[in-house]
Amino acid sequence: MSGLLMRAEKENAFILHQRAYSETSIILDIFSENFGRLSIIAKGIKKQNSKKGSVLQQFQPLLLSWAGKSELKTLTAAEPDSDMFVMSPGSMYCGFYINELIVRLLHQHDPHPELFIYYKDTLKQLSQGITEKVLRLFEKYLLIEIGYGVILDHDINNNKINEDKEYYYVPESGPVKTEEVNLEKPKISGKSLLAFAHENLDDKDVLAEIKALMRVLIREQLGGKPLHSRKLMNNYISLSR
Amino acid sequence: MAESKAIVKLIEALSHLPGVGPKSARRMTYFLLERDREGARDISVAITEAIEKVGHCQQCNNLTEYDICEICSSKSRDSKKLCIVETPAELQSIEQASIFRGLYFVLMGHLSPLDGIGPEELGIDKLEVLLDNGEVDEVVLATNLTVEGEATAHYISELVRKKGILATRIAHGVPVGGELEYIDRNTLTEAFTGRRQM
Ligand SMILES: [Zn+2]
Repeated sequence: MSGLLMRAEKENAFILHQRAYSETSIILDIFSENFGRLSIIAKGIKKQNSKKGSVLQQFQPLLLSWAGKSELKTLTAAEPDSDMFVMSPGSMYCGFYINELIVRLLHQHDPHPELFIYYKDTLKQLSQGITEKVLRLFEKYLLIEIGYGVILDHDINNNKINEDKEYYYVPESGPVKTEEVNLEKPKISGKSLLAFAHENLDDKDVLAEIKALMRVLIREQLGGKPLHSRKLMNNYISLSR
Repeated sequence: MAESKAIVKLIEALSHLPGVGPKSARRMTYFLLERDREGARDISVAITEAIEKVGHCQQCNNLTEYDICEICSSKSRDSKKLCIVETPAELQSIEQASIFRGLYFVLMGHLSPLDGIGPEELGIDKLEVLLDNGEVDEVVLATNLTVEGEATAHYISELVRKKGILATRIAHGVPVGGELEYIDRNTLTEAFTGRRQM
C-alpha cells in the first residue's frame, strides 16, 4: 500500500473508535463503505469551534475524504451525511459492542460494502430502541461476512432441521441431533435454529438460546480475548435495573 | 559530522511534548543550547521537581503536591456538590471560570471499551467511597459532550441515583463533540447554570 497516493472523496463512513494523537489531533478508526476499516489522522480538530471536531462522532453517518501515501491516511474533509442516530444510553453501549466486534474481526483495507449497509441499518434500529434482536442478527451477518458459515437450516448430515428435535451446534460444521451423538457442545432446539434462519426472533426463549449460541461462535473467532464492551454493557444493564 | 549523543537524546526527549515533531524538537534543542542555557537549566530543574512532587490527590485524583489537594481540603468549598470531569486540564478550565464552588472528582479519562478502559480503570470504586461518606447531595456530570463522555455520564448517573443522590448534567450549550478544555468561559458558565437532572 505504501508509496502510492491514495485518495477518497466523500466516502460513506462511520467512526468506530478514536484516540488522541497529539494535543490537537486524533486518530480515527473508521469503517467505510468501499475501503472497509482503516486508520485516518484528523489534524487540528480539538480546538474550540473546530467544525470538523463536532462532526466526527461515533454513530454519525459521515462523508469523509482523505488522502495519503502511508498506511495512516490524513483526513481532508468531513461532513455529516444525514442526521446523527440519537442513541439512548442503553443503545449506545450496544453500539460500542458492535464497533468492537468490527474492530476485532475485520481486517484493515478489506472492503465489506454489504456489511456496511447492514451496520448502518443496525445502528438505526438500535437508535429506535430495538436491541437484543438486532445484535443477534448483526453477529450472524458479521460471521457470514468473514467467511464463517452459520448453518441453521440443515444438520451436518444434510437433513432438514426438525423443529421438535434438540441439536448440538458444532462450530465450523453445524447442528447435529443430540439423539445421534453425545458431545460437549452448546445445545439448541430445532425451533430456535429455524427461527434464527428466518430471522423471526420475537420469542423470548428462542432469543435466549440464540444468544448463548452466538456467544460461543463469537468467542471462537476472537480467540479467547474478552470483549470489553460486552462487560461494560452488562455492567450498565445491571446498574440501571 | 554526526550530532552529539547528548543532543540527539534531548531532541528525542522534547519530541515527547504534545504537538512537537522531530523538526521543532531539533529547533528547540539548538535554541536552548546556543542562546538560553539558563532557561534550559530552569526547565530541567522544574521538570525534575514536578515529577518528584506532583502526584494524585487521594480523594479526587487531581494533580497535587499534597496527599489531599488544596480544593478538597479547603473549608470554603461546598462539599455537598461534586463535579465529575475527565481530566485535570478540564478541572482547571472550570476553576478559571469561577463557576463552581463545590468539590471535584477527576476520572483521568472516559469509558472506552475498545481501549480496555472500563469503570475500574476510571477509579469508580474510589468515587463510590466518596459518595458513601454521605455529604454529597448533587453530582454534576461535566464529562465531555462526546459519545464516550455521554456514555460515561450515564453510567455514573445510574450509580449516583442508586445511592439516592441527585445527578445533573451540564447543559448542551457546549457544541456536540466539545471538550471542556477548549470551550470559552461564557459557554462554560451557561453550561453549568443550565445543568439539568439526568
Ligand atoms: Zn482533591
